[in-house]
Amino acid sequence: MTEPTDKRPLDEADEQQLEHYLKGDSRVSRRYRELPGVEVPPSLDRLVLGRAQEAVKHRSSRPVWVRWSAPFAVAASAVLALAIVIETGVRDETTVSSVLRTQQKMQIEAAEQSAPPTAPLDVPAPSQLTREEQRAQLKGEELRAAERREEPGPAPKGEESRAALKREEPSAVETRVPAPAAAPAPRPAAPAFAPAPPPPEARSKRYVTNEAPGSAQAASASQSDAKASADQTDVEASAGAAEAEDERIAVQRMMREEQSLSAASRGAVDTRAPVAVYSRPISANMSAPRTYLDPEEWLKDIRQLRKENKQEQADREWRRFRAAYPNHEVAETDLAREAER
Amino acid sequence: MAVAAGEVGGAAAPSAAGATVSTIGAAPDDATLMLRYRKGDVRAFEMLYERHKGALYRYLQRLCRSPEVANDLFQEVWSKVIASRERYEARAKFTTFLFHIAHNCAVDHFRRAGRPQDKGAQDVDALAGELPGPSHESPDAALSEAQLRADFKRALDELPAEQRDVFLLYEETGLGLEDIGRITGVAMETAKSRLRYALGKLRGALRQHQSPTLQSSVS
Repeated sequence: MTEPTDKRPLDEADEQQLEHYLKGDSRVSRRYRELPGVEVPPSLDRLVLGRAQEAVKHRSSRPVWVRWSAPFAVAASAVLALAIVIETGVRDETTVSSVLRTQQKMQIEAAEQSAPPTAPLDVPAPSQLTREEQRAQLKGEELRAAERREEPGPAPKGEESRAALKREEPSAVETRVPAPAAAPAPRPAAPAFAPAPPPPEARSKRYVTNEAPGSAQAASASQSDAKASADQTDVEASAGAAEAEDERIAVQRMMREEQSLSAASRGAVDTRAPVAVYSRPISANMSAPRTYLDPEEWLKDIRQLRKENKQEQADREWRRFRAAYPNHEVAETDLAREAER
Repeated sequence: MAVAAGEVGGAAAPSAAGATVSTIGAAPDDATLMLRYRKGDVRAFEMLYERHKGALYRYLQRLCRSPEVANDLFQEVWSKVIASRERYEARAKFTTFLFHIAHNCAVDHFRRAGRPQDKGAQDVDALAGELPGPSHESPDAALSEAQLRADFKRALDELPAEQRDVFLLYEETGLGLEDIGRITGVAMETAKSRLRYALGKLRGALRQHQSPTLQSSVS
């Protein structure tokens, strides 16, 4: 048998020898085991075991803060992320609400300018006002009420609301407006919604103020009251009252939408609110529809939107416009009209 | 079988596989000991060290053919085991884990020191003097036996490093060719081929000392 070399191909004999060796008890294995034993020097043993012991000691002597650093880091990151999210949301709300407040103040000023300088205490019935005046009053009153709600008051909300309700009662009788019982009770989530005492110049528009909270009861009471007053007028006035009623329903709907919007923005700023207020995305506030006192101005803006090729926005505004002013005459060829198209 | 490689010299520590076999039901296995050490049990490491130190030391010394280098590598290997205790997972045998580190340390050493084959085998006469012969044998027989061991040792030292590596791993660890291939980073067939060549050369060294009548029994 020739000695195998690296270049020589392995034959069957080699294979058999390998199999024999792998089974154990080969002469080569025996010879290998008979080689002189190699002992690990004791110094090496001590060195290795000492290192092992040192490593364990070093590990156990780690300060507590090192062991807890990872969980603390995770918790701190979570808290930080949450704080950023909350803070960002609140800031957005604050920015938007301040913009809205400024806008509302401007509208109030405009409403006050357009309103009669001194309204008599015994004001004419709602049906006697022109539609334009009613709308202006309604808007102005609503915006003033919203502003009042935002102003911090010394008295607690509940008491303030109750006081406001009490103050409302006599004026309601005076102006033949819906009974105070019909006035909406302050909601626990937004107690500032309770009607506040109106300024002297707004007392003539009491019937609108009572409806301002937007409750369904108030709306129905107001409607029934409007119907009662319409019965007392002549046929022409009845027709006008019916028309006004429709219009009022639409306006109420619009007001409810606006109130819910303003309540949301106010809730983010008003820290006295008893309920948790969650931030809304800034986009929601930015897209808040503008309120118009003049339908023509509204139409003008819709036309402008159409000119700017913002059809979707224009259509939306047109629908809002139609909901608010269902009977306002708009020419068939008016650019503001929705392409029904 | 090769698992008894730890019995070399009689006083040497048992090999990994041998220790595992002998301690079944009596002592925890290597992975358990390593995990216990990971948790801070130094005693577990001591047991683990006792089990494997002999096989590892022999492997390193016979692979590198230098006690000084073997000492350095031995320390390095155990230091790495200690350092990697936190990452240790009992997915493979501890022996595979340990000798994989040892193999890598040896390869690094060869890379630093140059070709491993450069260092020649020890002088046969000197080696023969080291090898103890059976006391009951006649001087001629003892000399012959010593000569045989010296020749075998020289043949082992003269093996190419890859073949010697595979042969030593097989003898010292008792691992299969698949695990040896994993340790050395080659396919099982390559490991098998290396082992076959190593066996052929070692057998050739033994054959020179056999009488013609025994020639056939060797193979």
